[in-house]
Amino acid sequence: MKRKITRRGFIKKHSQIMLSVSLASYFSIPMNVIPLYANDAIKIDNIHKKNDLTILNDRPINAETPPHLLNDSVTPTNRHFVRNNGIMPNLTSNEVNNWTLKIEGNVHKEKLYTIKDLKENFEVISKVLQLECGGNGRAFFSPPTPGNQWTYGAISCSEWTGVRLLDVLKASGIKDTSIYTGHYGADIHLSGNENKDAISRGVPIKKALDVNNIIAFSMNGKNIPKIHGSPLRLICPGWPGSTSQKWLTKIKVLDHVHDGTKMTGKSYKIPKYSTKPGNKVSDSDFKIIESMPVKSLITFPKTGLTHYSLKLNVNGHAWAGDKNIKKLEISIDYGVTWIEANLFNPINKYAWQDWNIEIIFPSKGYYEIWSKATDEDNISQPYDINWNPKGYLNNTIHRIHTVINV
Amino acid sequence: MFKNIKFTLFFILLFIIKNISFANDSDTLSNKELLKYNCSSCHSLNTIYQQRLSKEQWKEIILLMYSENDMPKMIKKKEDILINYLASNYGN
Repeated sequence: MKRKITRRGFIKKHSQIMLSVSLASYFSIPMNVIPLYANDAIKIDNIHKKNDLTILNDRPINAETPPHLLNDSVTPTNRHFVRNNGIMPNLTSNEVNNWTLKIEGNVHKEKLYTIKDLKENFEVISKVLQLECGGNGRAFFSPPTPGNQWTYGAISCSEWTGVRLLDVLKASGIKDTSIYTGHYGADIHLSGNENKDAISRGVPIKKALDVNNIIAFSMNGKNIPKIHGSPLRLICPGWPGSTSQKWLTKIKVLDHVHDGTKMTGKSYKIPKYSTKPGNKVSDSDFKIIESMPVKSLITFPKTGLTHYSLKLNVNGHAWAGDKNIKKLEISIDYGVTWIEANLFNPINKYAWQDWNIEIIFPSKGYYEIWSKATDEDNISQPYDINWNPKGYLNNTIHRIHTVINV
Repeated sequence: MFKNIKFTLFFILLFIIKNISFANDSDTLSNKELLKYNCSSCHSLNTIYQQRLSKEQWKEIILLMYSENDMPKMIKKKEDILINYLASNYGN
């Protein structure tokens, strides 16, 4: 006779076994053992196309470009540095295809756009825009400061295509009391806590309404790669890269300074007054970084090479956040004398400026080549770091070395 | 009834095994394991290996991890061991 299995009977019969099994598995995992995190699988795959970059961290992924690989006027996608504060979102193609951007907060009309809506409702433009991490150059701080130890290469100048942030904000009717924006993206806080943003920064309304900010859906003529914020990101050129939210989902117009993740505490802030290196500064004495400072890079030749001629062509780029570069000088005698290089106009406002020079060395020997840019307000790059506790804004002159062997 | 006693004994046995082999795990952990267990569930240890920070800076970072980044609070003794380990291996 076939026995009928009732719900009650099943539970009675099997519950003790199930309980034992689950308890046994609980007891068999030693304390402190960390289950493999779901993100492990995606952590390094995304960097494979970036094999010339220096990887600083793999979770979150952060990588920079050595200066000699930044020689192009427009930075190729595979030479663009990678800065992540959280875990990249693992988006399905459905999510990418149905992406929306919300404009909300202190506006007359809240709006929700698909990427198609953005393309149809606003003028689509392309611009070559410099983007630099606020912590670029942190590795040279003495005493050292916490954070990713970027050397030179957290800077890029790629071409971005999208719609103007200005046009999109205007379409929502910004209220007169607005003073700041808050940007939100789909990346995941490192702790995995869904109630926390990995990063959410913003800019003053005046910067937000600058005609050069782009809500971008293409990078160098192609869809933005996942690692750079696919399918939609903001580009606020000339300001710390963290204001250029990746995987952009929402822009909130605010009547107060944004208080999102990494807007508060000491993040992306410097002291209001200059500080003795190593000194502690209280949170209330910090101010938010706005435009990035004047800076230059020698991108050719690569540092450390021997050259077999007294003549050497040297070139690179210079940029100054919101401002233009007026002059680029080179020294081959540790700053005793300076020679002016040929400086070119930017491709467009907020693109970096190329420069070049033919150096004629007086004799064979070991040389350092220094580059120093001066911006439109006659502000030049310093010789040494104006120290701050979080290691931001190192814009010291760039130095490479070479041996001239003739 | 006999079956129930068997199960009860089984659980008691499991409990004893757990206490013998694992209860003092965190006391016997090497400092490096302590670092791994407390830090690497959220981020790669490369985040730490890059740093050269003073004891005071490390302490400030641990406090930030508690307040901003959901790090479970460590007992004071362990916290001191971890901070000392960080400052002596990744110090300036």
